[in-house]
Amino acid sequence: MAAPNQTDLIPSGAGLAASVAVEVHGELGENVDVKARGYWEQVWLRLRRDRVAIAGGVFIVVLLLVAFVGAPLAERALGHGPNDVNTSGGLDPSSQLPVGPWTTVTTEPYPGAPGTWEDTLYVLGADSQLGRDMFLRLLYGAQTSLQVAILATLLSVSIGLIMGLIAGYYRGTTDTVVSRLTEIVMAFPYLLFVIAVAATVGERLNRITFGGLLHPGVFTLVMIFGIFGWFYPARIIRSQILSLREKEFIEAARMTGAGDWRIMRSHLLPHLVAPLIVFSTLIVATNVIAEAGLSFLGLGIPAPTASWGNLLAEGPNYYLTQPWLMVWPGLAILLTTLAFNLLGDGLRDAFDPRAAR
Amino acid sequence: MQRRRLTLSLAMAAIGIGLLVASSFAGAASASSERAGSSDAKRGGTLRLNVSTTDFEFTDPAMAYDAIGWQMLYAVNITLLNYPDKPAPEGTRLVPEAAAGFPRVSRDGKTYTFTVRSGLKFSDGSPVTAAAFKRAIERAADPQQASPAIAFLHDVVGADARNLNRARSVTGVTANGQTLVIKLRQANPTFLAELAMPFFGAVKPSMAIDPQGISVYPSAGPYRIVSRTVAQSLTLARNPNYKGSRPANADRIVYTVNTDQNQSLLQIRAGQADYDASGVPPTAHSDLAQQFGVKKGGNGRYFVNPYMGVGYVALNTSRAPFSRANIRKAANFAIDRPAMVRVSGKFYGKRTDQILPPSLQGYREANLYPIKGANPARARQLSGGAGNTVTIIHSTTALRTAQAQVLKFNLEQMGLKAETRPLPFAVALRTVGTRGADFDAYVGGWVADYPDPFDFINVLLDGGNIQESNNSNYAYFNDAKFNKQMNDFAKLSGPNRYSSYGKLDVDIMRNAAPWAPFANPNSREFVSSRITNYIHHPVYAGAVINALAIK
Repeated sequence: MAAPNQTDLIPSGAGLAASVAVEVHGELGENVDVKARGYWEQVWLRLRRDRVAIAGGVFIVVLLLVAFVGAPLAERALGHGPNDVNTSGGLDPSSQLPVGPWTTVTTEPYPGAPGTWEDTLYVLGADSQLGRDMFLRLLYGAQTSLQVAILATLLSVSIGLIMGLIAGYYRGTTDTVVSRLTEIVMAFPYLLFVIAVAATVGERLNRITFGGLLHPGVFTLVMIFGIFGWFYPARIIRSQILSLREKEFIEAARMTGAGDWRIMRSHLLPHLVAPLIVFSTLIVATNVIAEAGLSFLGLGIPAPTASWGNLLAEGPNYYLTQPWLMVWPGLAILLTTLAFNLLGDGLRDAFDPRAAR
Repeated sequence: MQRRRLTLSLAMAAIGIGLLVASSFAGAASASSERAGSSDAKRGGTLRLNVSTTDFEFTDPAMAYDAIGWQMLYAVNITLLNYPDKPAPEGTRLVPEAAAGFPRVSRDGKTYTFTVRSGLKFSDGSPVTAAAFKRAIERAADPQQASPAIAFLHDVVGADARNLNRARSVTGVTANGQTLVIKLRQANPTFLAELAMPFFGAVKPSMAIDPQGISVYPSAGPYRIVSRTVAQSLTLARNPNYKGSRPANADRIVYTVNTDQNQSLLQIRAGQADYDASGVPPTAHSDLAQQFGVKKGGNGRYFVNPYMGVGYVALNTSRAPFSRANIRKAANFAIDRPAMVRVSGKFYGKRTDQILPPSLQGYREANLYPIKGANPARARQLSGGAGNTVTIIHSTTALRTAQAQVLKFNLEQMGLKAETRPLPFAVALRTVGTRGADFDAYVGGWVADYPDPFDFINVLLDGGNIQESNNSNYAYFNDAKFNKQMNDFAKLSGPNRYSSYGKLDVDIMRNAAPWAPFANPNSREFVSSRITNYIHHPVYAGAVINALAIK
């Protein structure tokens, strides 16, 4: 009896029938109905079997929900915002340092202040000398970090796709120009550019939030990561296109009178979906770390907007007395990048099972 | 294979978490294993000082006008009269230094005649004569030099004319051999204290005019500047020609600038650096006090001393929205003074809503604005719903960054939109000191140059002193009525002077509120275990670096 789910054990000479049989869990020669499966369905089936990748995907979905739905709900439930300064309750009265996790703090600005002031819970303690709620800032920081990571990925992949497609399809001078441009971007001193942008137009760019849709500073980082991140996908796409354009189906399409644009859109692009999705999940993780790095250096998201990098940057001020302030954002970055990487890894295997063997 | 990948992923996550936690606790462990040591002070060795988050704005005596620069210049320069290297109260009393004695003052109080002590030499061996001090005044008054010291020279005959380029020299200052004569337009009771400022220390008569400031030059104090690499380091060495009585314990003093404040604290803890002129992070004070105790001077590690100063927010009155007095008053109601103090860490100081510190003669308590906490409702009422966007400039130190965040939060509570712009200290000063710069509020502090209200009110708020650059009136407050009062009161002496200034302080804050003062701070300093003989200078509000000795 064949062991279930052991697709890896199919002999290489077994051919198409064997792989179909395995897909439907039947014995060779057995008279069973073979259900035709589409490309995407097969990918999903393969991905579903990869529990680690699924766990990564679930983590990402939960993270997105927590960041974009949970954060405003938590803010409402707790009765204060992520940027609300509370030095009277958020700081320990004797040491004047941020309170620790799971502390009930007063919102009374000073003893005897007129009005009624309710206590509130700081789940992860206070973030800094400003006595802000670390838990809320971590949730809102997730919004910022994910906005940067996902939008920057979309931008860089879009630019890379267009450049790679054009270079690979047209070849010749176009390819030379795009390839040299790619090399120039690769060799550009990216960090110096970021410092120059931050010192000059950074403030103006940071103000672009599309009516509050984005957090301040997100647009700047998206542009920077997008402009300096497109060469990776461009090179991948170019090499794929250089190979694909020589295939018979492209020749056939050309013989039927299809124009360049139609060939690129309808015949080449579908073949690029898999590498693009895989690459995107991996680059999102890279962008999460890049955002954290730049914010840590003071070049990223401007205060008081919370981002994981900002929160992490605050940590070293307290590493002797409140070391957990480095742990929360560090853990968030670690788990998120791990989840995206595992999902990307799983997707790569699902799209191209031969590559996994 | 699935299981292997899962195990591998979990292992990687565990390693990551482990590294995070380990790195978090590593510092704590190293700190707890530190041990204190003590031995007798000795002469020699190299002091390794840090200046975190910034460089010296200037090392040129005509240009430097910040606590870090003056602390260094105190070790480098000699002035006619100076404060001894001693803690308060002796450290606040002027004594002759380069002068042979106190000056002879004419009966009308307008002519000062100094005799410069003979035998004094610059570090290059050339003699110090009266011309050295005349040159210091000439440089400060020169329009090309654009020195902030001009604020202290208005009473010197010919200084304003020179500054306005109507004369080729300051006619009221004459030097003849060892005799220096300074003529004033009117008697000035604080003139000697003003002359004791590092602006007017001895410089070579050939020292050039340079609006960028001259970094390395011969000096006549206990130390000399050997070299300066901008944004990297500054090195001082003992002046071989200095024969005075002031201490010069270390052979060399090496400043490393633009250090990271947290790293600097670690270095001092580990004995790899001896002292940080920018102070320690606000979060460290509680721990340092607990670990090393709190001392005022001598052979300790952590020192807290009060000084005459004020932490304040300068509200730029030259442009909207703070061009309107009501909005400035609203800001004074909006600012959460206890929060400003708390974010600054343990022992920061006392809350205030006035310009003059309580320790200054003439201070009168007025309770003009809430100092127990913010009153955003009253602030909104006063501001009338002004919704402008304001730019807050502050230095990049952790202290000012935290204070600027509180200010931003408070201003937003009163209905303004606020943006913070952190700049290295020297850059921040240069920016807000330039007329027409793009900012609305500056979070900063002021250490008294000498114990007199003139040094707070006239120096920081007299509109008559505003020039193109190097201003210290960061509020660009220029009110004709108040300018006149400031100038009138500067001529007064005795109790009348102080009571007038005390009343003026209250009047300005009540009616014009160009500032939102928030605290009278303490000096909080930490030195390495190698260091002994810490003396807190009551005027320069920091360690006397030429007195610091290596055990």
